[in-house]
Amino acid sequence: MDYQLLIGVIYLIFSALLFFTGTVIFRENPYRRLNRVTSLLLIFAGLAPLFAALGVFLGRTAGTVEGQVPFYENLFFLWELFFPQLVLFSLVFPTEHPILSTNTRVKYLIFIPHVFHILLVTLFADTGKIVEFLQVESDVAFFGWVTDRFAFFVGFIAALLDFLVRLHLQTFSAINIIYIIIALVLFYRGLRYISNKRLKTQTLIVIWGIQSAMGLYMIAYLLPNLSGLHLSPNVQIGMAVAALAIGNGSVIYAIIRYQFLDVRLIVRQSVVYTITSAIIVGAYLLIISQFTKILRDILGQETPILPAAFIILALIFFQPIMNQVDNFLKKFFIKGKVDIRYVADEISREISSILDPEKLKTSIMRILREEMLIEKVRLCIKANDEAAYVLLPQPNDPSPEMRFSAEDELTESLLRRNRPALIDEFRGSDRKSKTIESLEKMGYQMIVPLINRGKLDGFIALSNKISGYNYNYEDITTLNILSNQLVVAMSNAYLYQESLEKQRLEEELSLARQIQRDLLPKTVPVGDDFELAAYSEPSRYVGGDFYDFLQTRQNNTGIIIADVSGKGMPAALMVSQIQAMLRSEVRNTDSIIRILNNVNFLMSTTTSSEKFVTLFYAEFDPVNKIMQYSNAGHNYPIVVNQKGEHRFLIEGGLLMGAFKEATYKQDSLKLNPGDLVFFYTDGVNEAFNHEGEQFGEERLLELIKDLRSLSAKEIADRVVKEVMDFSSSDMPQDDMTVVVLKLKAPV
Amino acid sequence: MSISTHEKDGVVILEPEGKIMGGPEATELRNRLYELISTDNKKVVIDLSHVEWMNSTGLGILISGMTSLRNNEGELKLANISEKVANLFEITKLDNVFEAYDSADDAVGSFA
Repeated sequence: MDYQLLIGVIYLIFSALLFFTGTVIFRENPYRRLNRVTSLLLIFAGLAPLFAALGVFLGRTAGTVEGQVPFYENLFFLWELFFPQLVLFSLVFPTEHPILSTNTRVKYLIFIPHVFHILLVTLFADTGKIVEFLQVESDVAFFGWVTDRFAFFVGFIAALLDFLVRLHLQTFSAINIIYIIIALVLFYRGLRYISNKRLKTQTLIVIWGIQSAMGLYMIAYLLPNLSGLHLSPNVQIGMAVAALAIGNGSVIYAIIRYQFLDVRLIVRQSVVYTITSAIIVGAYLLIISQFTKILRDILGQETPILPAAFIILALIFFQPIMNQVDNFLKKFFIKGKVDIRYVADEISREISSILDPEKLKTSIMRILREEMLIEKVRLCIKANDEAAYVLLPQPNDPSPEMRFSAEDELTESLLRRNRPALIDEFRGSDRKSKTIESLEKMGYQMIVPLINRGKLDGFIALSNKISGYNYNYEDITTLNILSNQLVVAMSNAYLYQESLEKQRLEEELSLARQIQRDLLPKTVPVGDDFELAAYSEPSRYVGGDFYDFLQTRQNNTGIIIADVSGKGMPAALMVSQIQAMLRSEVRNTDSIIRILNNVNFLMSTTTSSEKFVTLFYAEFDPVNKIMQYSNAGHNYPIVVNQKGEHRFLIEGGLLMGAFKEATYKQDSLKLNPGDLVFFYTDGVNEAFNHEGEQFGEERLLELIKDLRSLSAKEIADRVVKEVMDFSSSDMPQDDMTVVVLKLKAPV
Repeated sequence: MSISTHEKDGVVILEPEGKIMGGPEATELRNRLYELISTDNKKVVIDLSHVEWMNSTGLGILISGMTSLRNNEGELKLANISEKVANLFEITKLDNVFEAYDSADDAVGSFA
């Protein structure tokens, strides 16, 4: 009996697994016919072990019609609906047979023999009962007369029915086997039409599974009928269940591998459902039994109504509770993977949140492969030089990165179409496209253009679908929506990337600005008889102007003001180079002329002749108030004395860095108390106002003359302010530098 | 900036117009000069009568054009320099380096 119980439990578990897998496959995508057909197939199959288990538990052997037949035993034959369902499955998998769309009644017609069969065995299985029924009726006088007359006839009919049912039961298994054979033929037919390797393997698995199952079934049911070999009903049922296990196992495996890909999810779902259902049912039974016990103790007697009432209660509450549990489980274990109509929605949600172009690319490829079940997906993006489209490498596609010319006919052709197109659509002149040719050779079937503001950013190449189905209208619509979303997402991602890059660049520039600022003298030399002031502001983050105060070998004060050609970073880089050269030369060389000659030579040999610097170098002897200087093509510094007379400091030579043979001359000048020397770069005199008028040297000269009695700092500040006011801007238009040397006026 | 080009007595005369302040127009002048050097045109005059202003970039182009031509045994001469531009040449002492003439014809004549 324990052995029997074990078998019963195994049947029950097996049946539960089939039911739950069937349910899970149905729920995975109820809109798909394949899902519906497969789940029903599994549920029909699950009926066999369920009723077999009931048979075991209720102490009877199922599947026999001898003697009194309980209700579940007649229902047992329901599982045989599995066979027409298998035929239906073979019409759907691996590819949909055209007959399903041309003749919609087929899917019902194939069930007729089994429906008849089940009706027959359910209604007429116990012919003795029918005869009995008729005979009971015959007690009534009139009917008695009739039935007496026809007693023989009734008996005959009963016997005939009995014979027919027996014959039918003996032979119906043959019909089931014919159904299996039809299914197998259809599977083999489907096999011929599919090219996808994986799908082929899966179909073969189904075929082998069904063939083995058929073998077992034939041994169990057909062989005894044909050869008289007697098998005990238990063995028969065991073999049938084993056959179902093998057949359905192969179907489940193939379907899961074929469609849902995420086997772990399916397994997890099935296990979770099975366990939670078992727990809930168990808990219910426990509560009911305990409750009945309590009630019995209270009432002191058995009340048959109570268990029935509890069962009704249980039924009322079972479904809502199951629904709650179901929702809860779904939230935790099951992704909202549904039919194709939601794919676009999901994709847009996913891709719009990705701002890294590389991640976006891999993510879109993954979604297409997994959600639309496409074997190979590759993205082709316009190269940076815009001359070609580059087929990006893909982990699941071994072919290397490829370049297609942007001049190819395909570009124009895709722009004209402005929608996803099958490779087969490219006919006539489009056919000349080399890109199309190579894509077709690589097995791609569909091209989805990525068009952004009338320009082809790239395209997605898709191979066949894993199912082997052709792309339908729905797919193309989805791809179209998707490509538009991708284009937007990509340009967003690139913009974001650009802004990041810009931010990074700005940070770098701020740093460069700080560095350049730090290279300027932090303090201004001060003497008993003179004062210095300086101002320098680049028009951008960094600039080409600089000034410097150095101590010369004779302990004089070296004053440098310079303006490198150009603006911004290139100029700034040259500034630091020249600054370093000058500092080193001033430290090691006594003569102004040699300093300038050396720096000019060094610069001319290291930079292009287009880059140069205008520079003024002076050495001021604070004791003797003598300034020696050389002007290398720089704006003439202005000397203004207390009386307001002026002179320019011109002597020197060519601008530096363009001619390596250039040589420099120097001059000197005796300064008097109250004299001021105004050094500046062209950002001062060339500043212009709204009318395009320049500030100019004359205005500058007059201004300085007016300011001559002020301190060096005041003069510098005032000039800068005047220039800014003139050009009505807060920032200099060009790099602007001012240095003022002022000899203290006699008290 | 438009640069008209014509040839006289084997001398190429470039006549740029506007401001030479860097940017695309400066690039155009630079390219035109390099083109002439590469096609072995060694005598070049730049007529600056329609150039109102130039900055350091413009100067750089003229300097490099001239040095490149000199390195190829050619010569770059200037004509019709406006007062403002002449001032710039004076400050930078480039007036000692460039031969400048009052007219393009004079500049062309100087090659003879």
